[in-house]
Amino acid sequence: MINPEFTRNLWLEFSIQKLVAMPAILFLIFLAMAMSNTAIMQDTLSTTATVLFITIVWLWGTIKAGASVASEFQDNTWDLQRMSAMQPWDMTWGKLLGSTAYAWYGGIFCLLVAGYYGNSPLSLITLEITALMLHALTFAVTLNNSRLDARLARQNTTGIFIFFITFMAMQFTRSLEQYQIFWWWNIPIQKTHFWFASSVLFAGFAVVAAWRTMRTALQVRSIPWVWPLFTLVIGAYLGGLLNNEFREPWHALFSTTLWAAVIMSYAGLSSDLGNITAWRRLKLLAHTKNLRSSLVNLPTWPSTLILAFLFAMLDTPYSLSSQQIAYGQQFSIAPLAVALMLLRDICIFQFFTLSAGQKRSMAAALVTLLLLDVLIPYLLHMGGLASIAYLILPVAPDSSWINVAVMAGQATIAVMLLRWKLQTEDRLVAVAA
Amino acid sequence: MIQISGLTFDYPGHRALDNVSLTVSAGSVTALVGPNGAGKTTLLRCIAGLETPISGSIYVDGLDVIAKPREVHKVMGYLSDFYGLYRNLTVAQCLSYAAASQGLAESTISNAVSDTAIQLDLIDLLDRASGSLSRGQRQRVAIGQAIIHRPKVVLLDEPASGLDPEARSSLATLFRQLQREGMTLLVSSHILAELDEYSTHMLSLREGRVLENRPLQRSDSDSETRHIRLQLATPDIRLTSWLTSRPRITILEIAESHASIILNGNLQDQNALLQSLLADGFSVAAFSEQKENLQQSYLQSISKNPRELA
Repeated sequence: MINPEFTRNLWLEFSIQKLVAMPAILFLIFLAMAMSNTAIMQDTLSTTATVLFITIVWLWGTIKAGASVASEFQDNTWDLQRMSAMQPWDMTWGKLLGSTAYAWYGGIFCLLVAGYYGNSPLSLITLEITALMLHALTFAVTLNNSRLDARLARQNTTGIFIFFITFMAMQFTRSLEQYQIFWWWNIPIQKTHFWFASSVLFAGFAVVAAWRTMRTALQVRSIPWVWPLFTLVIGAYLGGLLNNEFREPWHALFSTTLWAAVIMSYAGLSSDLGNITAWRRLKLLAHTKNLRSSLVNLPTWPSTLILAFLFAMLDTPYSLSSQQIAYGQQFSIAPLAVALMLLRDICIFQFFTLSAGQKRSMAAALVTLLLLDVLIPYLLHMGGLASIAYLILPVAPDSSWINVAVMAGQATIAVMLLRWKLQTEDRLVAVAA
Repeated sequence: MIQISGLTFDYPGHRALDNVSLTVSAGSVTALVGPNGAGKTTLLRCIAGLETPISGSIYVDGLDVIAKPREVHKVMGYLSDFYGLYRNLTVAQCLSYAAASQGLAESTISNAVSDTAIQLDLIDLLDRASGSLSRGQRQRVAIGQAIIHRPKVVLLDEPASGLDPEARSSLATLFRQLQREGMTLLVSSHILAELDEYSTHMLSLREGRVLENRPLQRSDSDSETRHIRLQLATPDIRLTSWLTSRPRITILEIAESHASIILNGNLQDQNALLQSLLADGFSVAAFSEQKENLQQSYLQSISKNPRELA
């Protein structure tokens, strides 16, 4: 039986007129481009086909992938979908491929032209897989936004945002054009092969992210193992690329994984805000000693916070002698201080988001973190008060251990504040009940 | 059919359901009543597996809703308060999609669509885009989507909201029909008169707590308990003693000119009582069987459980 969600999207996406219109318009564009420059027609058509593919499948397809979620909220049909008996994976691929089917239909003609006029099959497949990554990532982020605020999902601006980020990243990679070989963990890999493998890796994770987000949206909860796994993979991926910047491979691996865990923790915080209800549910489940239920109700960030501490400890012996430059001065980064700063920030973020008015609380949390982590240290450095700035941001010119101690103090205060907040909220509920 | 135990649901800063425990019997039509903010919609959404409670358990037809929501959906239909339709799909496509997404075999979908269309009087609309339908027609399509897989339980949140009197009447007929087919209905509505027409049970909520959950007294020809209202044209001092002396009568309310009684007997006993009253010279102006009125029952339920002051 064909996936009902895929079928429904095909009903909406295709008609006889649209089936005829796409190849007809593309043919006219290719004809116009071919006639405009007959001397280098092959290059012109190859480039046109690639640009059209990026416009139709990357940009338009990405918008359509986001719209496949956003339209459900705009039309109030999301409850109908959630009430279906379809499994999350079927719903995911049905929406992802169904909503973008017409864009892919146009993309096929572009690929045929690009392939005929000289683009290598591997580069074309990389284009396709990158498109799938964009679609899946937009789908996952839009779906996750719907949990945070349905209005966010209705706007469907995520796709355009993700497309432009990817496009800018591509512009950055153009600066690497002179390299034909990439060294990854000292293994030479041809550039085209590296891009292909990278696109497969990230597209795979994007599709898994879409599926996992759909599971959560359909109330099919599961243990959050993909998030830490992705963090480890990102750590290894970046470590391989930056390997030559470090004295030892282990230092590269531990350091990049630590930073990957930190970034993924912040990403997890902003994608899974958490509120007092979620905390209370977790607490009740913990009391019943139901380990699996407790784990499936956990947000994503605790797993990456644990990874951050683990890799901070592993990285510490390698980092003690390492010096880097910032604000025009030499400094050292103590990995443990970074992990403790993360703990401090998580506690501050949760402290604010546990309040009832969640949107305002989130804004307050973000402003506080921005002040603590960026603005105040920068202003202190600029004002010649670097020694005070070191008390806030875990970078120190002299002793890393002093910085660890200072950050441990801050983290302890933040943990105590969060604990107090949880107890206060519990008391409020007890009084109300 | 539905068993709920210790269900608590919190919104940030607000407890919507507070330790709710209840059962809904199979084949019943339960009117879910309560003021705004009582927790009616939250309760329905928890039963439907659309929201995860903070604690408690929900079983529908023996299936754990929290653990296996997708399996429960196969035996459940839900019409949300703010339902929507795919405006660019035809009615037939909307119904086909609903049937397929509920796991009906491909070979049975066509029959399910036509059966549902007949039941909901949608046959002439099958090829129309759902976006072009009137409010009442769209409501019927939405109900069709909720029941096309012949669920055992149907949850309806304000199903008659925005409908004209004719559409409401046909909705009541439909619900009675669904009950006869063996479905269990849980219907939330502000319009108690509308629920009165087809409800067999009343579940009253206030501030997230259950005030009352019981069957409504509905007399029919086979019933052995009849609630009768008696009105005399002229007051008669003998009425109290006369009624008190009769067997199988419980007096609920009495005055010289009228009485409200419970008669333990069938239609023949009711007829015999009326004949005796006339034979003994009472000027009977009205002698009518009273159905339990949902509105009154709800108000009684509220008055029995006065709002707790903080």
